[in-house]
Amino acid sequence: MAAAQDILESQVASLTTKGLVARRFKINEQTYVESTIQAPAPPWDRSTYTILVAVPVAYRVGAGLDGFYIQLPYKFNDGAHSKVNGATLVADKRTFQLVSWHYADGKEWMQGQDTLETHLVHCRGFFFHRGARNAY
Amino acid sequence: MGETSTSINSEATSHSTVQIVGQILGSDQEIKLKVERADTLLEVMQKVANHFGKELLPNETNPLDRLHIVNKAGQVEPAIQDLAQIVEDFIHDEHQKRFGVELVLAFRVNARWSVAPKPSMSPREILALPEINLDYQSYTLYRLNSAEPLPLDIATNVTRGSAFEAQKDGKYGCRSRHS
Repeated sequence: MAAAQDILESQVASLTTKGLVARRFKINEQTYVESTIQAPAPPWDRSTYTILVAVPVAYRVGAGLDGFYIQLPYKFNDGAHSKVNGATLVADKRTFQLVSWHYADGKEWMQGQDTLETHLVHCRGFFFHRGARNAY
Repeated sequence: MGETSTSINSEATSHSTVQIVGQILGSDQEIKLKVERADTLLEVMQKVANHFGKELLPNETNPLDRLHIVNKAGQVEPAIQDLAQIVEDFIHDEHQKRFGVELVLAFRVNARWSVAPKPSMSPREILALPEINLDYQSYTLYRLNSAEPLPLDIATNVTRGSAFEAQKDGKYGCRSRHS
């Protein structure tokens, strides 16, 4: 477990020095990383969003990151985005909702290559509608 | 070569300071500058760059930019490797008082910084740089804040400070079948 924390801690520390990650925390033993993502506005209603990435316990042994939560409220094209449709969670009195955004087939998470850094860029791609084919 | 005159370009120096000449390589201006003998060469580099309004990249404390000695023949010597050396220890004669800051073609992909070996590179070449090291078959390269993928084998301009994002494509809906 210590090693898992070390890997994540190292990646968070490295990215934080570059202004990419705000912090990590736990809710009911689930670790989350909080980050601020820049988005194009419009169609989004603001230029930055706070997101959460859930980090699995087995991250250190190759378990990948997948998807993210967006802080509510938000607006996309002055309404809701059809792919912001998952579970909600509350952290520090803020509500977040899971976004249905995953790695494309053939481009799955690859241990040793993908990191928190690349995942955050992958998440940012959602806001730019990069690479997705089954669009809204 | 033009010379910038400032209030600190007096020939006189105190015991704790030493006068150096600094320039941005490739420019035609230089500055006489007093620096502390206890300053590190990194601090000398910062002072020269800041004087000319230049920002070291990716940051002031760990730059990819380089510091050189310009010898009396005007030739630029190899980059100084140990920027933690202090001025007092480094300067042994007058010829080591003329410094040139080389502003390299530093750019970033995601949070990874590299120095472009040429000003026009294809995404395949960019992703293959050792400091970037991302598989072109997995990642698509974009310019910052752009949704248009850069074609893999078409060269694009890389300027100092430019930013790209390498992203694994995403999909809506179910998690990957292989996850």
